Amino acid sequence: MILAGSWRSRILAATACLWLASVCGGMGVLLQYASTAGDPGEPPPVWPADTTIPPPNRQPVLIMMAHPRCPCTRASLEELSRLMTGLQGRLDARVVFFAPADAGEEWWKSDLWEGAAAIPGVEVILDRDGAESQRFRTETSGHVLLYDTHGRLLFSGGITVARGHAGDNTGRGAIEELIDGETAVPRRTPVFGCALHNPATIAADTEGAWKR
Amino acid sequence: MEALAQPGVSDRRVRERTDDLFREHRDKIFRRTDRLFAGLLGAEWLGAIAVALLVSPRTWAGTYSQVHIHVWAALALGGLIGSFPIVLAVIRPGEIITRHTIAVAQMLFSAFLIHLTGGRIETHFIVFGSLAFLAFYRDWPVLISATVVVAVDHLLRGMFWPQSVYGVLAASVWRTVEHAWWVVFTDVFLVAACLQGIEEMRRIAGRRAELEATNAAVEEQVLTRTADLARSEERFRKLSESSPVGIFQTDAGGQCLYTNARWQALTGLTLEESLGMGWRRAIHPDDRDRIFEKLSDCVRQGLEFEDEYRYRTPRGNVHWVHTRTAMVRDAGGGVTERVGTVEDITHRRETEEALRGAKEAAEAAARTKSEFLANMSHEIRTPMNGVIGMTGLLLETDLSREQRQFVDMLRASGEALLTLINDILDFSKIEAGKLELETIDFDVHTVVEEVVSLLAEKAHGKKLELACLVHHDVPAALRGDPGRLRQILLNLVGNAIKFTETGEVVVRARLDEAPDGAVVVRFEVTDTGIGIGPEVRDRLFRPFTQADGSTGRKFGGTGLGLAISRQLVELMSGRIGLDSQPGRGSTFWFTARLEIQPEGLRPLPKPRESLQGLRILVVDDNLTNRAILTEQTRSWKMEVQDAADGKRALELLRSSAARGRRFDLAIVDMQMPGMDGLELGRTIRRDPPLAATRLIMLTSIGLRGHSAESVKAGFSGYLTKPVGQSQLFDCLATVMGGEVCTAASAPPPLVTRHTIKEAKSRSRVRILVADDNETNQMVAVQMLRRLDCHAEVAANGQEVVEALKKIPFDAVLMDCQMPVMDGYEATRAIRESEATAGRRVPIIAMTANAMRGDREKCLEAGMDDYLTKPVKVQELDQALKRWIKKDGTPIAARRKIAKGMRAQVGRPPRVKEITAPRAPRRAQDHPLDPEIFGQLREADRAGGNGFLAGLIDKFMREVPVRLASLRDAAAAADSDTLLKSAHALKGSTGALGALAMAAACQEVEELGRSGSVIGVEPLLTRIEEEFSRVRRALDAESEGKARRRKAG
Repeated sequence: MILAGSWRSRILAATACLWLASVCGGMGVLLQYASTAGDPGEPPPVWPADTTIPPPNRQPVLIMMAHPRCPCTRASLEELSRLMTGLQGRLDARVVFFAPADAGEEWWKSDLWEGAAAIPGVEVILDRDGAESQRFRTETSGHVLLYDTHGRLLFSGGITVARGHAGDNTGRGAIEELIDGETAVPRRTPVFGCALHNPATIAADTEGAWKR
Repeated sequence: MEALAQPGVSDRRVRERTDDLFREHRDKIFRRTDRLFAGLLGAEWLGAIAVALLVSPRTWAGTYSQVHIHVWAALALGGLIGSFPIVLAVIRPGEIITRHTIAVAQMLFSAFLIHLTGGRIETHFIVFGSLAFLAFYRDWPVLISATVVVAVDHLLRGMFWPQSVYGVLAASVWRTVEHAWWVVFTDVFLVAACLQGIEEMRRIAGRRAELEATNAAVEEQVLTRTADLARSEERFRKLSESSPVGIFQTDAGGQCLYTNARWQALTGLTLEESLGMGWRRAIHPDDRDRIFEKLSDCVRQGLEFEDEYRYRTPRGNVHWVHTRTAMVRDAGGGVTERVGTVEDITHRRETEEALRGAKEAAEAAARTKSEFLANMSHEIRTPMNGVIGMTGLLLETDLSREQRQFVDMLRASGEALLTLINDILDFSKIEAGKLELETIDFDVHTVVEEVVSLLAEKAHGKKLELACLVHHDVPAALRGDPGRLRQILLNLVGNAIKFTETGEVVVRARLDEAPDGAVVVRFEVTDTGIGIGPEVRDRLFRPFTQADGSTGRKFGGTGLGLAISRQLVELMSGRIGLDSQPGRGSTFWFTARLEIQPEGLRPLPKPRESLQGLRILVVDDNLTNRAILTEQTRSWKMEVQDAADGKRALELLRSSAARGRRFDLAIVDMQMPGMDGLELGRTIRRDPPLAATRLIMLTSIGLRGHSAESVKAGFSGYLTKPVGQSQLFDCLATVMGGEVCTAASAPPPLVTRHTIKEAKSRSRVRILVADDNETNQMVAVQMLRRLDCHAEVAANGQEVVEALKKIPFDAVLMDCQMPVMDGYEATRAIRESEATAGRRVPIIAMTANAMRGDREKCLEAGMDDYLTKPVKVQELDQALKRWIKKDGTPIAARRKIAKGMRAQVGRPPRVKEITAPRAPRRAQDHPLDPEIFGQLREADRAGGNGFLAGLIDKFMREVPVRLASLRDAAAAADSDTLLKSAHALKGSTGALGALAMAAACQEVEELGRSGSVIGVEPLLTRIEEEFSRVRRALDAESEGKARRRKAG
């Protein structure tokens, strides 16, 4: 019995270890996913001329490209809200939501749209068929661009630490300092979020997963 | 019990039990918390899926989308995290690995959820919440496991992906410290809470263990007690069932709960039949109402029940039972039950009934006998009255000496018989409950003094001092039965004298209590006699009992006296008792409740000197009594008629009144057939022509209230048979001296034998006799009694002086030659003291001296008169009349006479010439002077107290002693002794009437006074010869008396 008990305990311990290892592995996969950044794109260093988005006037303008259905962008909007609150009107922000050309309002007017519209100092702009995002050469939802009053690009990148993870991050801190006049700050940060444009090619192994 | 008795064992058991309970409790908590977390983990899994679906259901790329990895992670990873601990909670609940696995899983789930929610700061609270939840285990190592998971997570993230924890790639160390601080801070409190919880659990376990131990002990005790109680109940049940006494039990309302076998046997009811109110059927129908009522009262008033009654069985058997109940009360004092015992007393009741019947029969027989005896009172007294009355009348006739002696004997025997009959009748009356007391006015001082006076002779005969003292606080004027009071005192004082050989007998009366309108007087008779032992005291007051069997033989008596006295005392609402020490005397005492006369002593009217010519009617149904009364009244020269009944009396009274010859007096017998004395009296009083006739009631049975009724009926006098002649005369004279008793006037004081005695006693002259010779004392006292004077004696002059200081005597009879202090010296001392006192007592010399010059000597000394021995009654009477009146001369008058006498000193006209002793007139015929000896006989008859016999006895004993003394003095030529002895002998012989012998003695005395003894021899021979003659004469006298007594 003692032996049997001992074996059971060992099996139990082994099972526990296995269980723990599995969980840790699973958690690692998730972390890996969360920390995998999106396409950083190549934003223009000066304000594009062909854009319909009003250029900066008396103060810098922040442009955030957003996919209205990307769950990761919720964290970016939260950080934007913090940023706008912290800067107290010294910054103009435009959140540009991607929408297919033929998509109705029910597609693009999501809780993210509503949330962004509710942030003081933020203007929400619908980007039919991703025209604006292409003009600014951005690929990932949550990508933030900061242009000074002269239309020069001051900052490009994400303002979250991982996909869908709010909290202190380098991007937000850099923007705040840039507005405060600091210059020695990171000008590029990774962007975590969904892709703004349809994938050019869908891998065979994942074709079945993507739906239009 | 055992556990309670052994504290050490108990503590160990409690500790062990505490540990068990603690472990049990903790295990229960572990298992419960395991289940809780199993549920929680399951819920978290579902929550994770829900969050994933809600927050990040799909991931997008332009217009394309696919299921978000979070959804798959929630499903798979969430399930992985939660499944293992859930399985453990199911299959290994309460085990350490389970709760630590749960702790790790919970913390992993927390991290997972934080991740799913996008690392929102709010979701970080799940970490602290999880720690708090894990504290439910109250097992702090679990918290450590959980904390280790958090720490490892932070460590690994900090190392490999710092931005996931701190948002930056290079976090400050202080942020790590801050994160760790918050977790440690939480852990500290939670660990403390766990430890506290464990402590409380242990305490609760300890209390529960103690409670269990106490409960176990109590339970064990209860079991023991219950067993004891069961044994006790069984024991009492067996006792009850085998008890010879019936036992029952009821509730407070009387509903029967139990009866034992004996009760069932007594009642004939079974237990079932007796239950409830069935027991009531057992009670005999005749007793039911009474018993039910009493039981109801007892139940209502909460009292015990006790009674005797009957049970009747269904078969008709009857048992007398004595039932007694006791109440059983609860702690508040309320009656909850009654238990009772029923004793079969049938046999006792039957015995009592038989005894009662026998007692009643015996009492009835005794009562019949006593009633017969009591009724005999009248029948016996009436002829006794006749006997004594007739002897009295006979003595008034001209009788020869022998005949007179016979009649004397007859009267003495009659009176003795009457005394005896009175005692027996009294006792019979007492036994029959018919003895009642009179309620008449009397003077208690007189009663006491009279008793002492009556018995003084007897006491002096035994050389005893007899004295009385009535305390000043005892009122004189009382109301009661003086006759019965006198009877008690006579009995006690008579006994005291009888049983005392030397010393004294003293009668005292003092106030004991004084209730309203009455007094309780305590009488004490103290003697220096033989005393009475404690063993016989109690039976002394029983009838027919004396101190011992020989007492009756030695001292005589019926043995009824004290028993009668006791009854009489009780009738007077008093008590009687005795204090005595054998050999040191006794004190008999009694108390009597007597009413106080509201108007004080009421003097009787002054008696008439003569009854001559008064018309009197004698009414009596007894012929003898009528004859006696007729003869007596006729001897006083009254006009007398008699009637045999009331009717005849009324006829005579009315016819006489009609003729103008109204009767002055009527003597009416109480008991007469047809119309009794009271009715006759009332009829006379209602008839105006007869109303002036004075009435005297004559009764043979003095009953309570008769005297009062007689007064109401108009009677002025009330006498009890037998009535002495002088008593009757005094009564008639007193009644005739007063007013007629009418209805309109206030009734005058009733004339009774007591009031007459009191009146006479108050008016009686008191004389002090001073003589050293006892024979002379006796003779003088007896003579004075014949003259109706109260006499006391003194043996020498010193005693006379002392006596006069205490008592105001009306006169002194003074012998001149006495030892200690002679008569002359005593007289001078008295006169000297009188010079300051302002009163003068007449002193009459009474001496045998015949010498010339004696007269002057007496007068010079201050004496007033002079008598020569032997003194004759007539001479004494005349002398007394010269100096004092019969009713007591006022002091002023006596002083006046005395002054007159003093003026005539030297030749007092009233002092007789001194003469030589009278020579015997018929010396050759009889050695005793007939006149003197005749007087002594007369005095003896009048006194009726054996006076003469005592005198002769004393003389016969004294003379040989004196003669021997004379012979010795002659032989020794002692003229002084010769003189004194001859003088003493002369006094004794002269007093007895032996005058020739006295003359010879005087010659010897004169010879002695001359200082010579020459020629004394022939004188002594002559004295001896004369004494021989005297002795023969006295022997003849005694023999004749004895013959007469024998013949009688």
